[in-house]
Amino acid sequence: MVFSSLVFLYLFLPCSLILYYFFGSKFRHGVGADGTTDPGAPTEAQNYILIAVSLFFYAWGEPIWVSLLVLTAVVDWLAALWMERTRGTNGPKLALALSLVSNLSLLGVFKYSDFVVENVNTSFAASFNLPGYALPIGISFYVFQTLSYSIDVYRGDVRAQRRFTDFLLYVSLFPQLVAGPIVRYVHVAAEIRGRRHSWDLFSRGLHRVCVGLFKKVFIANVAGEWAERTMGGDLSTLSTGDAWLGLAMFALQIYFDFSAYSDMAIGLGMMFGFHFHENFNYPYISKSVTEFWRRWHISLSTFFRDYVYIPLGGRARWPYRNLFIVWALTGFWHGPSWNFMLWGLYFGVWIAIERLFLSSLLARLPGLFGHLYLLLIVTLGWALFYFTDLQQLQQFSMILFGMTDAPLFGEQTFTDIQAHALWLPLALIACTPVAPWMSSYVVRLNVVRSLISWRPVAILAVDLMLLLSCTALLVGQSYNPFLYFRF
Amino acid sequence: MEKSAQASGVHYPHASGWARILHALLIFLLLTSLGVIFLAQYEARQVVSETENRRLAAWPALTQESLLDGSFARGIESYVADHFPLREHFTQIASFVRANRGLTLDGRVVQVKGGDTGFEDINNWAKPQTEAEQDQSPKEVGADTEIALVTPGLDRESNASPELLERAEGATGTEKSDALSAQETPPQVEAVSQPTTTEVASARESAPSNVTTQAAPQPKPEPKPKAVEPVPSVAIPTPPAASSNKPLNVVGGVLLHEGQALFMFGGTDKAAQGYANAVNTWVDQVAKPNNMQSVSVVVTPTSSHFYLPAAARARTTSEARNLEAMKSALNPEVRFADVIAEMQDHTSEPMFFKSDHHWTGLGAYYAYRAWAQVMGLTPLELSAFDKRSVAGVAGSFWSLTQAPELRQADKVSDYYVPTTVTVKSTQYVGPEQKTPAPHEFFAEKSRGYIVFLGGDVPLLVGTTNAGTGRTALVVKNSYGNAFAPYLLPHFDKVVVVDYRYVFRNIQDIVKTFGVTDLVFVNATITANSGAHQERMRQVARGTSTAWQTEAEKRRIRQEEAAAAAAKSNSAPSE
Repeated sequence: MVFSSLVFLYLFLPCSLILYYFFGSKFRHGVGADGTTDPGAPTEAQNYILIAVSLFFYAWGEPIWVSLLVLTAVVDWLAALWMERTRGTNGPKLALALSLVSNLSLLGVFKYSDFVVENVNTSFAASFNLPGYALPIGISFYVFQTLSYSIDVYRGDVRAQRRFTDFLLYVSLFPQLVAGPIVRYVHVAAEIRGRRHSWDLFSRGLHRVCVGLFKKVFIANVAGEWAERTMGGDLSTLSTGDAWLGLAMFALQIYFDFSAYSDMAIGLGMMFGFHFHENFNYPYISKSVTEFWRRWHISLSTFFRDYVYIPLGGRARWPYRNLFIVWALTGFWHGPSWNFMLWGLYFGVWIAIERLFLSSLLARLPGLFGHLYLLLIVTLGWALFYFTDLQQLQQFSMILFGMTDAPLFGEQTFTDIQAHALWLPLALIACTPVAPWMSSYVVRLNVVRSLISWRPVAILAVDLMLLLSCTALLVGQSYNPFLYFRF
Repeated sequence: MEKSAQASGVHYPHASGWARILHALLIFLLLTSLGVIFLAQYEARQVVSETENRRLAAWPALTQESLLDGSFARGIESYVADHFPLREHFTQIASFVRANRGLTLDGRVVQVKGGDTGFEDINNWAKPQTEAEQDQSPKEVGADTEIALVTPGLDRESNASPELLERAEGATGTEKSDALSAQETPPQVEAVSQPTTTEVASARESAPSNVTTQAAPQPKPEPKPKAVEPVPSVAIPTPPAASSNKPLNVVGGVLLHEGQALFMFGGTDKAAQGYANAVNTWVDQVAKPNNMQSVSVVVTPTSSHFYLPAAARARTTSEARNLEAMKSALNPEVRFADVIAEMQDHTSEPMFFKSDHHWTGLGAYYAYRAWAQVMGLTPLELSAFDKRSVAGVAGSFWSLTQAPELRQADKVSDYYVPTTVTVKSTQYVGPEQKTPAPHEFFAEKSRGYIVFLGGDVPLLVGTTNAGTGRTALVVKNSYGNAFAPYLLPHFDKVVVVDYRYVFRNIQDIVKTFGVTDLVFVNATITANSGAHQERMRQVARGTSTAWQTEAEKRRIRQEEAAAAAAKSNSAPSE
């Protein structure tokens, strides 16, 4: 099920919320570690309901592979328990190895086996059959989540979860299950039993969901159509101007698509009482590649930093080797194809360059230079990301840099721009944190202080408008998947 | 958003609780109430959308397969989207939003969904119309109503039609697509990539063997001055070919110009040849084996051929050229009506609807004249018909673009009823489309284009007292609805088959009604669609089980079993 679908918004979500909150405080509460019940905490029933609706949500899109999800949860739950049981012996190491092997091999088989076989075929002129496994949705995410759990337990950063249902709740929680932030167990461990529901949290979550929906339906989808027309069309007739425009649109699409999903995930989490960490922090206002990756897909880059980069030695030992390993893996995580690894390495190169001298250079120049440099590098990077066919990539790059006889502008270029003349500024402005800037500016005006209590009403009006117009766009448009769904 | 605020150290004063509660409750209520209304409306669901002129998605079939492979879930999503409460209002808002994303210029082009399938969404042909759905089509006047009694002298055809059977030599070898396996589900438009002629095949890059070979660049049509066109056609680059998942855009959008909606035509020579190929399949599979006396093809251009302004024309391909390509790829014995020649002197008359993609009764009349010419018949004058009118309706273009100028653009829909013959007409319904049910050629209680045939009927037979000894089979999509009645004065029976919805075996239809003449009616936009072409071929071959009766299916299963047994006895191949 996709968050930006009518089935989800108007059928699944109201039902889940009604079920969840109906089984609230009247029913038995969870028992805390000290044996007492806490009336503000979620009830047992609520947690079970959340598991049930989450599994239903996942099964909606993957009726068979929901079993894989549960299996992964079982394996890691057992592994962590075993680690704690056998502290001080080799037990934890074995359990960690088991967890790593099972998780990574699952990911490897379902996601990368075709890639491996293809490359073996081309390298050795063989013709093995491609296994052709269908990729279960979200496997890249939940495998990393359970991995983070086992590693954290191994390191002693968090206690193992004794109850399987609580652990399953963490793994299967539907807001972040399919493409949401990679939520670490250690961040939500306390909230499994100890989260607090409140109208304020619920309302803020709803607002976040409306905003995410808007970003997806209004901006990402439109940008996606435009990008697909140019980059997905006939490259031999593509003009240079259209190529750049299309690439920029793809850059917008992928940002709004993914950050919208994260927004909705975080918002939905809030509606059920969870606080997830931010996954995007306006990456396109960055002034360097290093800063960009602190603002883009934060949960992924911190995952690789904490579980690959630092164990390998971080900046202390072999920094550049570690850097390139991490970036190759980051790129490769995005898809089973060489262009993704190239994309990761591309950023690795730029970060290395920045480390060597570019950062200090940029610091001395006005911020605008850094900003423009970043936009250029990142936008070009998206070309690497888009084309899985390296030949097409080459063709497209040549068009970009005017190395073909393609004209500068196509017939449709100006019509396209005119047709989006109002949308384009909106999309560009939405890349910037204009909403928080305005909010904090308004708050600072003492004159308006008394009106702050009306802020939620204004937000209500905005949310209603966003929700209704997004619904309108979704009606009659029945196929609308998130881009990152192939992960 | 939150992080940035916290990072800057700003602390929001505590917002008053009631406002938050109000916010949360209202939005939650909105979500819940629309969901509840949707569920409550389940019984009263619409099957056909009048404003969108298409069948709305039906509830998907629940089988183990559909559940496990996810198609059931996807089917529900389409269903919900199509049956959402207040759908009409929401689509209006959506159109407003889409239209106002940029600067509104006169002559704006609206991208339309469904342009790739020639504007007639093939997903809506998935199943033949069930009886329940047929009950919902507008009821006409009683079946016994006769049209007229006057029978003036009727001109019989003066030339002998070429005997198709005598032609020993084969067709011009355009049919190569037997490699395409019969498909149960409606074919996607990838079928357009089937090689038709060898020249075209060589123009394609050697693409990977999957069917979605859209990476091949389309050959650029050279400029060809056309005497028949009011506007000279210029060198027109084809619209960008689609990516691997998207079909070629036969329609590159809809231009709004002077209160009329016009297609931005994007059909190619290759697509036109595909249609000719489909017709040739019919010649081979249906006309020749049944000794038919003539095969004629009527393909109308759309209004954009006559009315598109010059600036926009540069972004389209030429329909006249498209029709020429179609004609030259047809078998020589097939007669191709020159509709443009007939229509071009009457461009000031209302031949096409402004807010709908169809032609009017008048436009179909001129096509009838063109058809009569190639058939060697004398067409009846317009005055020989009884002109009647029904109210116009805001048609398909309006539904798609929601452009306000189209709303009242078509005030009437004129239709011309033959007076020279009496007609009794029946449609065939039921699981094998053999059960007769009363139906008229004109739905006089309807509006707009629906007045013709009362909508799209899979199998309709009109029996007249024309006394010509000939029976016509009209193979058509919705464009044929306005055309078919003009054939009534010339044939004893006019059998109208909508290739999108018929599933009765075509040979059975031909034999039962004694068909002697094949007439194909189409429009450039739909004829260029690979999906339409493939469906026509399927009907001709009877290759999809959807087109067959139970008896046919059993027979084929037996034959296949026998063939498989025979094969396993011989040496295994590969």
